[in-house]
Amino acid sequence: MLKILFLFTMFFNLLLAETIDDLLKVIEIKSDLSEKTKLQNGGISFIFTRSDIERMQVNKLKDILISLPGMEYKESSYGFPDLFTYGDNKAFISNNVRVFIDNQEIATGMYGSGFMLLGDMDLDFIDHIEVYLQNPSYEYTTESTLMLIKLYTKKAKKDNGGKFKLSHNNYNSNAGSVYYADEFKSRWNYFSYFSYDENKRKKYKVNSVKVSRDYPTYHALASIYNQNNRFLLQVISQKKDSFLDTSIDLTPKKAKVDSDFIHFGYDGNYKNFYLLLDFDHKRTNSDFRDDVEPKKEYNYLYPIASQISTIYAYLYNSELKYKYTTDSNVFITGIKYRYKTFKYSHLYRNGIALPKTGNDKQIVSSAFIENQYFIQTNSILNIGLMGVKVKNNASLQNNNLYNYRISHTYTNNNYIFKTIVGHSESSIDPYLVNSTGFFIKDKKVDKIINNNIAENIIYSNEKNRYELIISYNKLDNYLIPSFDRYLLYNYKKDINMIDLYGSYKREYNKIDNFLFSVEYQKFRTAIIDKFKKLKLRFRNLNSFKKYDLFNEFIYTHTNDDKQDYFLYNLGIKYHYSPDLIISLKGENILDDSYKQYYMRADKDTLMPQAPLKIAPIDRTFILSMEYYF
Amino acid sequence: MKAIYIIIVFTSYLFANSYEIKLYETIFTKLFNKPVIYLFVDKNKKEFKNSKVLKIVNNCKKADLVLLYDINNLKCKNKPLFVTSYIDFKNLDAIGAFYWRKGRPQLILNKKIIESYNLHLDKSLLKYLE
Repeated sequence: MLKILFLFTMFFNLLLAETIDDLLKVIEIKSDLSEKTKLQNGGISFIFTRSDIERMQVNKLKDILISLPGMEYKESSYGFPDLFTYGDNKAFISNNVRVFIDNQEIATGMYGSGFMLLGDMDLDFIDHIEVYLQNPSYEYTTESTLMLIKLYTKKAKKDNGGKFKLSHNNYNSNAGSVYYADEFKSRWNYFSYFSYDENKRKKYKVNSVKVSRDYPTYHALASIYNQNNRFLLQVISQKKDSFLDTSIDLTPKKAKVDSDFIHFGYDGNYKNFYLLLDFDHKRTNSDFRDDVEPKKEYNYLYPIASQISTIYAYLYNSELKYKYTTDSNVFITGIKYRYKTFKYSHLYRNGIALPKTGNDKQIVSSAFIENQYFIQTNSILNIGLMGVKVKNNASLQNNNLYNYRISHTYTNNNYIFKTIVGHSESSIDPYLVNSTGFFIKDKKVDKIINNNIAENIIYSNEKNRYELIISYNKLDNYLIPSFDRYLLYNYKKDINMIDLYGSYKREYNKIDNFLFSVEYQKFRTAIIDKFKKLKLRFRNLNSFKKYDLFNEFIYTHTNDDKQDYFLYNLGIKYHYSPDLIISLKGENILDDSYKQYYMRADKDTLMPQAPLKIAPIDRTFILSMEYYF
Repeated sequence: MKAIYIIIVFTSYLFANSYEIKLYETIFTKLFNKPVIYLFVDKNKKEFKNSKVLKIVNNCKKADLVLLYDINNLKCKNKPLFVTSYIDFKNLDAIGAFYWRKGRPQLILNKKIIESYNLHLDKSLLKYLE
């Protein structure tokens, strides 16, 4: 009976595909990929298409990061997105996660990466997302990169017109966004976007003190472009409850971080040349109060009873690249120059004005060459070298960094075999430089080295796609926190990470698909000798008449405390008309998703206490209405 | 130049384009009411390589129909024209256009121009008339 039903469904779908309306529907879903950058040789890549984003109801970047191998979405004690956080007192340490909007990196003069800002930002301005792992191509990055996230804005060519969206969640939080895109007769196009999100989240009580990570945010983005030139402007203003902040026992009396951010940039092509110029500015006001008694032995600077600061950070970035293509080579070379500077208008800790470190500038200069050699039309050898010079104006902390990557890609009708071998070196961003006794243990931090090898095998046919990724990373001098005030130091033992990832995707008709993946991860950490993680994911995307259905289930098992976690997300979209859509999404419905650790100590004895465990993904139900005009 | 980029795109990218080609095949065979149509296209010629219905010609004078992605490439003005932008559709005497609006693909046809070329307006195309 089931077989007959299946055959009938297949036959019915084939019939439907012949009609023009149905072809238009299939084009709408499938054509997302045709817009993507063809950077398949640039690293191990994951593409989230417009259709994936819409049907999965991806509201924030974190909604898709949970689907990536080797990744667990985490937030720092300040509540900022921070994939590599230790849950200690640092606001952000994931400077190797780089975020781009179109071809321009969003970055800050203090912390480097803009992931801190965009990791939990509304994404309604995005058409599709590409994520590159394992030492990706140097074509885009100026500094060492472990993970490259490229967000592609909606384009007037495809999104001519406008949309507004309103949503409300179970924490009584409201959000609204509006965009409009159009083409000028002169072949210039524009896209403009504005949103406001109250971003209210689940509250926690720590020793009867209520902590919050709400972050009301205004966000504006405008892009003007033609075929060869683009201007991009982004403005973000946020008033954040900074969660646990830097509280020693995770019970702050007051924790606020307000910030304003602006990015403005230009990038363009002329013949074989590519030029990029951009500027980022961030102003941050912090106000932290805690009920603790500063100790004499720490010159009354620790534990922190109060910390008030205003920081102005600036980043200027420029790139010039040249691309040359022959019959069997694609050669690209470039130079990049990045100038980061910051100043404190005031910085008081426990009422004491902290002395200036003298270092307030960092210059990162880099040069790279990369060549794709086509051994045959289906066999590509890619070799890339990048040298980076990091110079701070008043510090011992200067580094010369060397990076290389060799990759080979072989394809035939159904298979892709990709092998990547890489070496990357990274330094520290300005906020850690000269922070001895505050954030780092020693006066100088040794460069952090990552050697990696990865194999990616994909088999696909019209309906099925199998993928296997095996990767090994060896980290030297990795920065880990000490038990003495969580000061970072170079861990002198190797950290070896093994990751196995396998996935199966079935397109059981032209629109609907099912994904299953299994992942096993093992590495030695500073705390646990053999940390192991097993992760199973199931995802189903269906469209039926006027409804889109999304189901996602993720099971995670870790050996650190023998814990099992269950994350279940569900989304339903109702297309009342082509222009009016009502959506309901439940995130972490079982309220049992992966929990991360936050380190704490007794405020009087300063002795470590059992860490606090909190899930970075709240149980959230979101009701939304979208209207296209 | 070798077709070097083709091998590094996903299979689904090819599928996506194949549906677009399929759409053109469906519309054009209905309009011209014949099994093979000679087409002049200014870009993406390789995408039409496997089509048994749309045969690409390099000289627009030999074409039944001109399909333009960029109107700056417009040459044979006496041939039926199909465009890929709504602005071009409004500004030129095109028989139709396939373009995107509000994130959705759109098809639009101009009855007057279609009739001026004595093309066949099939019943299934009527709902796409401007």
